[in-house]
Amino acid sequence: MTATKVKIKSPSRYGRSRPAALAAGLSRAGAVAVVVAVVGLLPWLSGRDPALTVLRGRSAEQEATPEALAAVREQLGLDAGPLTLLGRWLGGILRGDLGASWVSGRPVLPDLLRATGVSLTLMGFAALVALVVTAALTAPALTAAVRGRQRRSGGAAAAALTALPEFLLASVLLLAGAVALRAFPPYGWDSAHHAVLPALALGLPAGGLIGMLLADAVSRVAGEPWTVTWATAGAGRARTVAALLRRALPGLIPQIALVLIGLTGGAVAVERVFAVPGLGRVTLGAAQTQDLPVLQGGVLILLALGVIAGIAAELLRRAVLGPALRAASLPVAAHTPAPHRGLWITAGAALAVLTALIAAGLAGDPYTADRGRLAAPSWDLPFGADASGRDLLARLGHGAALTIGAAVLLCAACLLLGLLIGLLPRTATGPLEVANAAPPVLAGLLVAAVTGPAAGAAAVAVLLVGWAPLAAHTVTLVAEARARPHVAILPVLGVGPARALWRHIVPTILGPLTRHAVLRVPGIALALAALGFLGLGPQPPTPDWGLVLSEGMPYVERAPWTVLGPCLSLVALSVLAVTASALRRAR
Amino acid sequence: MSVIDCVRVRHSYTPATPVLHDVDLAIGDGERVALLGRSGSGKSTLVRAMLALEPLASGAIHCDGRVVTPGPVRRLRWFRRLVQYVPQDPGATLDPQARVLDIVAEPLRRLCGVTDRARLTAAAATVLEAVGLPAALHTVRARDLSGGQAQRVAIARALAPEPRLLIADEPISGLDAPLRAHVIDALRHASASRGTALLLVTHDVSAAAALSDRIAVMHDGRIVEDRRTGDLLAAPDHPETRALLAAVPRFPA
Repeated sequence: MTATKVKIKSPSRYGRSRPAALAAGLSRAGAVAVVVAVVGLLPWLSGRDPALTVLRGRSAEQEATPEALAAVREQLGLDAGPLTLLGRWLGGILRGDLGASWVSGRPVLPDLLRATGVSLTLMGFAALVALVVTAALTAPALTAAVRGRQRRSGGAAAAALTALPEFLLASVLLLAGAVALRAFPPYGWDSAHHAVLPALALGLPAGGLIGMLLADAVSRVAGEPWTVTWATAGAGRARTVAALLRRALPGLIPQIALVLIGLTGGAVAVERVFAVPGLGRVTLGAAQTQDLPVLQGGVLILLALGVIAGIAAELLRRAVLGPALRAASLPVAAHTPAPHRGLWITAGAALAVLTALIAAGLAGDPYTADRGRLAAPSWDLPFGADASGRDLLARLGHGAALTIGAAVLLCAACLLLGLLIGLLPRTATGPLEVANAAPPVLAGLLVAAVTGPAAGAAAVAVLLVGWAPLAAHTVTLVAEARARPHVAILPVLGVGPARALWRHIVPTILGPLTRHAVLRVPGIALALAALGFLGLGPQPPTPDWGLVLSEGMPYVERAPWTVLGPCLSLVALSVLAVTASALRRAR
Repeated sequence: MSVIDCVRVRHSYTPATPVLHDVDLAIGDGERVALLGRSGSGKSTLVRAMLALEPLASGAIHCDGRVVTPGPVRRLRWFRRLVQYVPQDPGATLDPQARVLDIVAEPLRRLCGVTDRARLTAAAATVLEAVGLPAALHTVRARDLSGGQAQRVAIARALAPEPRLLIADEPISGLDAPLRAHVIDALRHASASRGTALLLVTHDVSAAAALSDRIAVMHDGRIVEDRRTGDLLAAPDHPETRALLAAVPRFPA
């Protein structure tokens, strides 16, 4: 790997200077403090009477008389006021005491640690599945690269994999693997056998996304000049593959960490479907019963896991990229591969499906229950009717405007926010790591706990964490751009830092960043749908895709069309978004 | 009057191993000087110091009567306008996505304060023609240029603000013979037609001979000999100079 040396940067800028490290440290401490304070103040922020929750949780029959409430308050020391409560809670954390559950009265920490162990085991199995899927998706790009060619990824299969919502995949796997084939146990967590289906439900979408990103990166790297040198020097196949991966991985490591952290969010739904006693299920349950000590503890542990993973990923990235990042000698790809013609057809087909769905659906009435209950699909009713006898096609068509529109708007907002925050890597470190560590479902739990479930709450929750992957990508792209010779020489040409950033660095990173953002539209639509599915988003009778899907779930055996329609719509949307992003040239 | 004047310049990356020992070097207007020395002699460090990219341990660098020290881009614009830089393999320092005219216009905009689009284009086109790049290539993106064309564009970019001194750091090492000819040609033409002073940093005696009026030989962080090119080549004083000359492969002229 040879590259031109341009010695422009001064040595003082090679490493991180002391003020920079200090800024990053302050940013981390500040972000953590804010989040911990928000979590600690949840009971107060939500504006609900915690005593009422406790009383309801302990005994449904007992009437919430003022006397009963006062007794509970006194028992739990809730009279002290929010700030004292926060102080007491923080003091407890320092002593390793997360308090006692309001519902069961048991200490929170031991139960949560047991659940964390279960979740980590499940995530380990899921990561194994993801690894296999990633290898399968990256193999074609690597094979092409070893033969000296560049190849676009963007298979419809990969796109569909990333679009499969964990909750739906989990349900389908449950029906197919446990109910129909009887090959695996449907519920519980007693043996490795129990882990197969949940691990598949979690690992397949993660592997799809990582595999697609990695295949893309390998294709890009295959265009760099050193590959030709290696090929003509007779480098072996295995060594070339290793080198390609080593060069392609650093830019992706933060995103891979992100996907792995996202497994915690996916685990909430998957653990619920398969009744796995993991952290996600416990935390969601706590949110539903308003058992705030358990919710606070669960959220804290999930965040801590994420922050640790994020830091580990950054250390790994630095280790892999090594001196090349500091010595202004990263090679530049001579050309990016031209898009595959088949992609146009795939994208066109997906677009046609969605357009037809919306056009046909918007003509119908999504709210009136004038059809037969769970009516089967017919010429008149192409997608059948739901349990209330409403036209599913009409609901999906109207829901498309909601879900896709909201997802596109949110995605644009996330792109802008991610770019701006990513350009300030020092101050952004803390918020970035925290937002990265929080899957949308977790943010949804927090926001819904404060504002109550609503469409706006779901959007805010998605925006709160959705900018983070794009900001993380911006940080790595900017770091790589600064290491290139044509950027390193700019100070000598009189180009100041601001102009270097806006005119020379940002334009080169906008392409890959926008591709990444477009790639996330289905993910954001799915996050919204997942929040709707879990009851944290739009409320009935809104025809939100997630809601429609969750309303159909109980009838999936009797009337599969109740989930088939929303599912196909989301898959079509995802295929469109992914192929569209593959069609965009690097710039 | 000299464009740049290094006075007792001393530098070390680590305190134990000084790289430059009290170097004195002045370059006059229109003068063509070659800084000759083998790898590790301190040439590149001296260049970085002269470009205000490296802080000095002691000594000073003067340009146009002002002291030059490393600092923010904004504070150094006047200096960048007077002293420009052609790095090793200059073609590699072009943004592959940028158009040739924009590349050359950038220093004009930033260093000379030209904002009028028509004037920028005209000035950039003039410089590009001066280095021998056909007008048809002015709107091409850098990635579509051949190696020789890219080297010429990079030199044109350095010449665009009409500097009084051009510092070229090993501009031809690593290039093949025709590309070297391109680069040497463009540099010689620039100094001849505009009177731009030239500091050519090289380990290549033939390039130094072809492009300089004066040669300064650097060895172990010191300038050991600094004389007119003809005199130095004819009768080298210092053992290092003799060693460098002896190492030159001879070809029929």
